Amino acid sequence: MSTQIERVRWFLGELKRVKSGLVGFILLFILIGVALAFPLIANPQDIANWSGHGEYWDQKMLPKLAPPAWINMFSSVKYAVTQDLSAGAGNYTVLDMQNDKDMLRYLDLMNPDVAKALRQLPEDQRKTLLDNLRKNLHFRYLVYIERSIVYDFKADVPPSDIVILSKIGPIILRKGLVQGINIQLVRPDGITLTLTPGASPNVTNPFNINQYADMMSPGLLIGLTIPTTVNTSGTETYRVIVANTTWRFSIRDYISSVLNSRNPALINSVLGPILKVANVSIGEGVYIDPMVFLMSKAEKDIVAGTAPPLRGKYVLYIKFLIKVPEGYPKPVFKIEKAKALGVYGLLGTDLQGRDLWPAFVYGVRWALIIGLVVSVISTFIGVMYGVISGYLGGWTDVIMTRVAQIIYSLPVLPLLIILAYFFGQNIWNIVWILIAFGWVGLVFTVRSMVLQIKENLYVEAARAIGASSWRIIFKHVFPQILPYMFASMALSVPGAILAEAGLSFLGLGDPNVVTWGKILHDAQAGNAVLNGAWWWVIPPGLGIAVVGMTFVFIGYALDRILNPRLIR
Amino acid sequence: MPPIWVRRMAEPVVKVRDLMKYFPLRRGLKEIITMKPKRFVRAVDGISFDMHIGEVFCLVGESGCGKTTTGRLITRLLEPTGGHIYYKPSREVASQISEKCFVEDGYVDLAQKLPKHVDKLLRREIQIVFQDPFGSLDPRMKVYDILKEPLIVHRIGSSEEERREIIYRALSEVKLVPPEQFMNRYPHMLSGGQRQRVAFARAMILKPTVVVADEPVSMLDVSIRAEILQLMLDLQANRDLAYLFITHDLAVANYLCTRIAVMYLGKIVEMGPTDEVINNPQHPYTKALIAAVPEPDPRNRFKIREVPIKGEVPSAAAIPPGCRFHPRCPYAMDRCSKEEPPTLEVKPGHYVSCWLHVRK
Amino acid sequence: MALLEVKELRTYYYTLRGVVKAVDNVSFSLERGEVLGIAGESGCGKSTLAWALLGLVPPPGRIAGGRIVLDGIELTKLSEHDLRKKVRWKKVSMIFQGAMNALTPVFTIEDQLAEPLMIHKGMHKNEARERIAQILKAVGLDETIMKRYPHELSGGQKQRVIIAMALLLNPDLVIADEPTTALDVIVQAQIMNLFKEIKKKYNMGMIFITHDLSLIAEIADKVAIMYAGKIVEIGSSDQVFGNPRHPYTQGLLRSIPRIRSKEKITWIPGVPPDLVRPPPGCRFFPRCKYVKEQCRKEEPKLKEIEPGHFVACHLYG
Ligand SMILES: Nc1ncnc2c1ncn2[C@@H]1O[C@H](COP(=O)(O)OP(=O)(O)OP(=O)(O)O)[C@@H](O)[C@H]1O
Ligand SMILES: Nc1ncnc2c1ncn2[C@@H]1O[C@H](COP(=O)(O)OP(=O)(O)OP(=O)(O)O)[C@@H](O)[C@H]1O
Ligand code: SF4
Ligand code: SF4
Ligand SMILES: [Mg+2]
Ligand SMILES: [Mg+2]
Repeated sequence: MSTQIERVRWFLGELKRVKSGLVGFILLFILIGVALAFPLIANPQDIANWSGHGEYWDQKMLPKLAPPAWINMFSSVKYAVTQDLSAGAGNYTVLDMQNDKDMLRYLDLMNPDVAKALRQLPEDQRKTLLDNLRKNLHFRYLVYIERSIVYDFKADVPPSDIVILSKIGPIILRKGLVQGINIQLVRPDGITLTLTPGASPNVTNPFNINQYADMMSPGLLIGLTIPTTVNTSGTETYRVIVANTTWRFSIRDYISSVLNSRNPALINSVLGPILKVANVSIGEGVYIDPMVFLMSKAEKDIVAGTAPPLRGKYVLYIKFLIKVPEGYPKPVFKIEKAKALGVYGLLGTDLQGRDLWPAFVYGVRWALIIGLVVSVISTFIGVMYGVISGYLGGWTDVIMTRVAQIIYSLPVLPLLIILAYFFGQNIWNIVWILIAFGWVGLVFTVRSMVLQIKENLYVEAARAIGASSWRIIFKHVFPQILPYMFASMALSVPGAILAEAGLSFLGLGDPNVVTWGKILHDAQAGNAVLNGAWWWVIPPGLGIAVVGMTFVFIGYALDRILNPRLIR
Repeated sequence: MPPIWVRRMAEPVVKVRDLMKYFPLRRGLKEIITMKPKRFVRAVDGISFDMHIGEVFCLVGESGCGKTTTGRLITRLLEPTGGHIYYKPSREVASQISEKCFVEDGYVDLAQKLPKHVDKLLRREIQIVFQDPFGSLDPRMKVYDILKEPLIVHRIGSSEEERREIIYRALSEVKLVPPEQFMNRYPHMLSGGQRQRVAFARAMILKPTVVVADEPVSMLDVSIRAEILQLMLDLQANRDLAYLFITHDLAVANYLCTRIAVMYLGKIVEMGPTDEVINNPQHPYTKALIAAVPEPDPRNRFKIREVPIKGEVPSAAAIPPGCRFHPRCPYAMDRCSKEEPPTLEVKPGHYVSCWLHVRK
Repeated sequence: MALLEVKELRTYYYTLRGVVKAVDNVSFSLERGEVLGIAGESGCGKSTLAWALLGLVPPPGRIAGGRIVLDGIELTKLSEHDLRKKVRWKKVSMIFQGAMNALTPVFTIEDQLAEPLMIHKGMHKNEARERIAQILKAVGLDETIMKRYPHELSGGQKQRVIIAMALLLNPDLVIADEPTTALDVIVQAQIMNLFKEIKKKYNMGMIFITHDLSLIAEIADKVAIMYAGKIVEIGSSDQVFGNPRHPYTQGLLRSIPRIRSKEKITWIPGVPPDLVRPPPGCRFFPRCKYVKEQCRKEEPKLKEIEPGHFVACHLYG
């Protein structure tokens, strides 16, 4: 017992002398710490929903391919940061057509002369006339909804998008039932953009349907990405925005679709106010970044995208005027979340808008698990195989060496690929495959070491006292190999990690396990390098390198420290 | 008073008969293709001798003549190519061996394959001490563990205390006192002489009847050799023990041994009581060997030593026909190169293999 | 004037463990035609002394002090270049311990022997061949050996080639470090005979180093006994063997078994000291049966107790 403590103390003393080993062990402790602290420093849900759970990430509304937030610390140009946006003023007013007062208010807008006349009529006459008019109305309620969000833009580079996630509906879209929508963006310089063509730039009367764009005008809802369904009642079919419809509205996508429409009238009706102030027009085939355009000063360079950014409060108004026929529920429009998408998090995001930080941290775990499991088991098998083959000698040795040679001479990578293809898609299968090929490398060195150790007189002495082969192997031969075994165990870790990464990179990894190799594979598939998304490629690459280096340091240190004992 | 070995000479404990060990030579590819016959190093080529309890039986000869191989055959670290090693187990061991294993009255043949447990029992009775005290102890084990290993292997001592007691006694016996001071040392903390004592303790702890001592002092400093030799005699004084002492140093053999066998190229050429062989050598090779031994006498520097024989020992892979010594023998006759000389008893117990002694 | 004069030579190894005082204050002299035998146990510094004489102490060893004067030249003052060009091989040659196993396996004996002749003497290959044939004959080898490779020779033959190499340039001093250790008795006797012949034939000095006192007696005129880096007794062979005075010498002589007598042999208890921390006073005191109080403190100096016979022991004087 005390000798054990003695040995540990001696080992630590030696370690102080082999600096690289000390560095290696410190790194290893850090890595293990990171692997264990994963639930504390990242959200395990992110990993659970990493693959095949698009809705989880849609919910999170993260930017796509966003660089990490800390680049602002190193960059002279400040990027807008991903942030939640606050809601501005809102309004929800209902006019009930069964209510005379409300009905009159409606008529004030629709037909002021009639309304005037009606007001002058005596009470009962007015009532009958209103009842008559009501028969021609196709709806019971008139609902006015107004929501707004505010974005305070302070950076140099505008966010890549502003997204609003809301619940909307029910809204009936039937002939003769004109439903109004009016979306406006008010810039800090006072320019108001009416995003819904056909709507009035100045809404003077919220109940005046003429000041709204007709929701049924062709392509409008599609452009706004408001989902509708077809409803059939009797012989009539009509569209409906069903209750509680999720509406994800991306300003960027919407402006893009406008720009891509190549319809000058449309473009002009949406972006006209800015173009007018800047006194420019958009030429044919010019690429315009919608967000840069929207958030730059209205100057000549705005089309080229080089106009200075326009900082300040942007307010986006979304207004509805909805008619609700008798027997239908009143519509709801609720903004659940609004976000400006810019640089994000510790390690940015990938092309699918997934946060790369939890994936990276989680990768440490698998790197360690794969590296250690593969190296420990394969080293152990290799050493035992070599020891037995070398010690027993004779035919056993010949056959065992041959088998090892055959396995050794197999082209590992192609085989790995084939096997991973057949058995793969599960991380543990990959681990077994790596072990199945990893142990042979050691056998030959170990065997030749054993052949040497076997010649030691003290091995013969043990045979002379009648010790069995097993006893000699474990008591006299194995301890001699041990230092070498530990060193090569450490040195074979990087290989195992690289092999797994390689397989994952080739797309043969476990689709459900997030490893660094898998991140790299996704990065490759997502053209990360072409997109300049270094934050997608460098962290996992560096991670592999650091873990590899850690174990190489440790391996060399073990070799340096433990091997002189062999000689002593 | 006659020497001890004569007193106890009743029956030999080991009877070696025509013992042979051939090591196959690695053949080149060309030899394999041309189907050349396998060639052998005839390290031990048919030797016979007896060993008695209480004696120090000595094998002397030049390097490569097969001394170590003989020792390793008797300890069964090697399997013989042919011949017999008859061994008479102690009564205690004999009672545990089934009747089938015995070949003749009380002897087992160690050259035959024996059941595993019998093999292990017999190994206990024949121990070996090697030449190199630096290599024969595992550098990673403490003296205590080195001595405990044979106890564990043979399930001697039921408790740790009992084993400690046995080890304590063994260390005292080889004069590593006080034993507590040595038990916890690693071999590198011991001098060469002390290591060799540990090696003897390890051999003796199993209470063997035969101990092969393969040049146990040749790697030690001159000034302490006598100490180990004395230890060997002391150890033997208290027990029924036969030594097979292997050496190339005739002076040491003369000092320690009761009987000497001189080996040349795998054969015993002369064997007899020490005084007979040293003072009255009969074989030309023995004569030359003895003549060549230097002595600490400064008068020798004025005379050229008469070493009548020529050349050096040929390779054991190409043993000359007939008398294997004939290419170097000053008395070689025609017959010598053709026929192997028979072994004759020239005086009681003094055997020589040489045609010179065959009278017609 | 003596051929070789060594004065208070000190040669130390500067290791991590400490300074190994392998040769500590060694003085002796040697005449032409004389053979000095140096004997002592393993590790007492015999080889180190030999290397120091050639200026070839392996690192981390260094000559730490003292003088070596050969034929009037102070070797300790020469540069490495001068030692190599003027002294080694030409004036002093050495038969290294284990040298016969260090012959280059890929060159024939002739090639190996011709090289020093061509380098040091500027001889042509043909001239060299003559000299080689001559020297091989002198060491008892056949000329045909010239064309052979080392692995084709027996141990004794290889050792003879090594000896031939040492004699090649007719040096003033030959140092032989354990020249027969790896050889069998019979071959050893043959080689010792060769040394005796060489001693008779050539008028040079020879230092014969061995741990085997019997071999020293076979050849040396003068014997130095070394213990733990020091010479403890030096004198003519007759003096040292016939009248050993130092307790260590006495113990050593008593520990050698003899073939022609059955005298009881004894041993010297204990082991030689660690040369990093040798005991104070007399280095032999932990093993000496005559040890006195003085021995533990005061280092004994070499004293002449009879003409030419020096002993370093407090028992005398
Ligand atoms: N394992 C082996 N394989 C092949 N040849 C061997 C083996 N062991 C010994 N030999 C050969 O057998 C011969 C006898 O060897 P052995 O070791 O018995 O000699 P020895 O008398 O003990 O010599 P030494 O005095 O050098 O120890 C030698 O020629 C040796 O090369
Ligand atoms: N290169 C070296 N570095 C450190 N110490 C050394 C070195 N070479 C020799 N020594 C030490 O110096 C001392 C004298 O060594 P040396 O080789 O001179 O002894 P030796 O008398 O020739 O012994 P042997 O009979 O074994 O050849 C020994 O204690 C040895 O351990
Ligand atoms: S048998 Fe012949 S060759 Fe052999 S030793 Fe006797 S005389 Fe010499
Ligand atoms: S000086 Fe003292 S210790 Fe040293 S040898 Fe002489 S008597 Fe012994
Ligand atoms: Mg041997
Ligand atoms: Mg030496």
